[in-house]
Amino acid sequence: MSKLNAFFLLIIAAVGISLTANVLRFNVSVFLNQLIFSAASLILVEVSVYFYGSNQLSWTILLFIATAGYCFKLIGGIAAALTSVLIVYLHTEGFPLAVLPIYLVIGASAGYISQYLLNKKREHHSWMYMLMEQSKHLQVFREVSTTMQGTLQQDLLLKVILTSVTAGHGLGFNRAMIFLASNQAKSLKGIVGVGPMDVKKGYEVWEKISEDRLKLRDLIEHNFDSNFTDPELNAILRSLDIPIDEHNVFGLALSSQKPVIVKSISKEDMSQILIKDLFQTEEFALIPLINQGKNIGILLIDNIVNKRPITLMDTENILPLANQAAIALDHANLYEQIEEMALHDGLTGLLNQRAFQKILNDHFPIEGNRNSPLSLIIFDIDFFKVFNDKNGHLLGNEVLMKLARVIVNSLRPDDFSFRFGGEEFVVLLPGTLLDQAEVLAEKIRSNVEKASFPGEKTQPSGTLTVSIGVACTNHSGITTKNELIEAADQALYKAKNAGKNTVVSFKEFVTID
Amino acid sequence: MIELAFILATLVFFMVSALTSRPLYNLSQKHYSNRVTAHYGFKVSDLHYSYDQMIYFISMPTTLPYIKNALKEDLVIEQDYSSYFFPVLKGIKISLKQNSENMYLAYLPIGNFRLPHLDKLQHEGTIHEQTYLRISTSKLLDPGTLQEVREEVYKQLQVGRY
Repeated sequence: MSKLNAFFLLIIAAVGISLTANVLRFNVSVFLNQLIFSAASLILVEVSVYFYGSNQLSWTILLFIATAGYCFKLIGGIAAALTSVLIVYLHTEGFPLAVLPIYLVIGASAGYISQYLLNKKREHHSWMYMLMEQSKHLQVFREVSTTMQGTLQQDLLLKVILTSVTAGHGLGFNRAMIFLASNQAKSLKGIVGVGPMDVKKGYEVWEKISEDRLKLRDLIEHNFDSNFTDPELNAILRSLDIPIDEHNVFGLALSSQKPVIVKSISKEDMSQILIKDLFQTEEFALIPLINQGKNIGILLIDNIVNKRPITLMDTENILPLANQAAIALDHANLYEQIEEMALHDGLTGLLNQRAFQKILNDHFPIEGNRNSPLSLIIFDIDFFKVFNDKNGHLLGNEVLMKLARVIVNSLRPDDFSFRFGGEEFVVLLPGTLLDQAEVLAEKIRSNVEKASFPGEKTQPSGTLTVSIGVACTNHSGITTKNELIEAADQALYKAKNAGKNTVVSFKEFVTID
Repeated sequence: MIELAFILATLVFFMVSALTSRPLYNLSQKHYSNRVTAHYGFKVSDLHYSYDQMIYFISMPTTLPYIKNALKEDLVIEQDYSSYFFPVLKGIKISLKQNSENMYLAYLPIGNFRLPHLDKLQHEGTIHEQTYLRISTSKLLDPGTLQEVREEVYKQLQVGRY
């Protein structure tokens, strides 16, 4: 065979060996993969021996030693060095003792360099992973903060918080629940939760989200309530009212203002037993929601589906989001309180004029729709000026407060009661016909008469009474809101003229002045 | 002569190994996935997946005009492998190529590319984590998946998540 032919054949062999090795080695385990790659280099050495003889074997075999060292690190390098000595011995005559130290140095060096590079690569990968995780959390935090700043609706805030905690792109926990502090922060009430009630349901929801390619905004805006919040989970959660106790883990999280990870359920803590029994969870974490030292609530997280342990790093990462959530929830709560105050009378607690206009607008039947009638009851206290003159305004205020309670207790849950001004009150009865309104009006009158009020003995009749006018939109003469108020007012005027402490309805009138 | 021939052969050996390792690795993942999924009665193409855990390195939606105005075609998807001789897919990188400069926008680590059906099988003990990884690698390397990832990233940059 000519030298040129041998040269080309060796190159072709190199291509063939590397290709064959590559075809094989990706279908086997990592160890076998490396073994095949090392063996391929040895085969190439053997092929060169076949073409050119074994004269150069003592140095060509360095390819095998270096490759094995690269693949199997220090052990591989040393083992290849020893094997190479044996191979050289088999191909040549005499034991090549002189080359053994060289082989060992080369094998060890290749192994050491390979190990060093691998460690560097791992270190780099670890840094990369940490930075990417931080980047991801920063991204979630940034997005959630922006969304939270855009709304004061507590409902939407809760959804954003929970979805960010559980969504894949977010913090990725399987389940999250929010408890808000209530009763002057003496207990925690379950409000809303996201995630499955059990593992099976978890996989169903997960499959559905992936199948429909649902985005976070879809979950929040459209399908959040119906498909992805487990009704059973939320029903149980809403029934929960956990006392904030120094001896339970919820109280501990709030008093220490730090996240608490429950790794195994303590039988001495009733709250832990309750969570385990109701939600089938063995491990969970409680993240306190605190704003300026005020306990807003608790965020409970767990991994019921994949059982991934919750780490300190997890709770550390969730804290900025929890703090942001606490601020947003507190602000939303304050906003609701202010809104509540703006619509209620400060003395009696009943709705005020502003609320009356709004609710009247909302419930007044639209033109041509007589199927949803609206009745209005208006009344005032008989001889109240006399009462104030004799007893003073402070006692008069007490009477007004007591009267408000009597009114509220006389009504149905969906009725609205208002302080219209002074001693005048109004009740709106959506979906109520005149005859039903008359019954309710009579009930109010009767209850007021029966109730005991301070200083009522000074009244002309010896007891505190009210006169009541009633009107309903199903009357043909009432087509506007003002006409409804005017009609009830005229009925009240009639009641006053008819001797007071009575109910008169607008049906007795024909026209409105 | 032998010195030169052997050195050249060694170079060819390593070059061919390095150049063919990634395509052959991808091919082996595909064959393995098809074989395993056929055994369990489903197809890789039917698997639903989530790339929700894509990690973005910029704000979304972005206010940077050169990203906002970028075309979908400007987004470059690269597979990120661990090495040349022993390639393992670590994830995919999405970058923006403009005026011959690359700006990294997002990264999806293979461990974060989740397929609910495989999650379920793994939970049941039907498949091992390694099998899961090989099938998810095969799914992520699919041109259809990569195209969808490109579209998703583009959309996220334009409108954001919320």
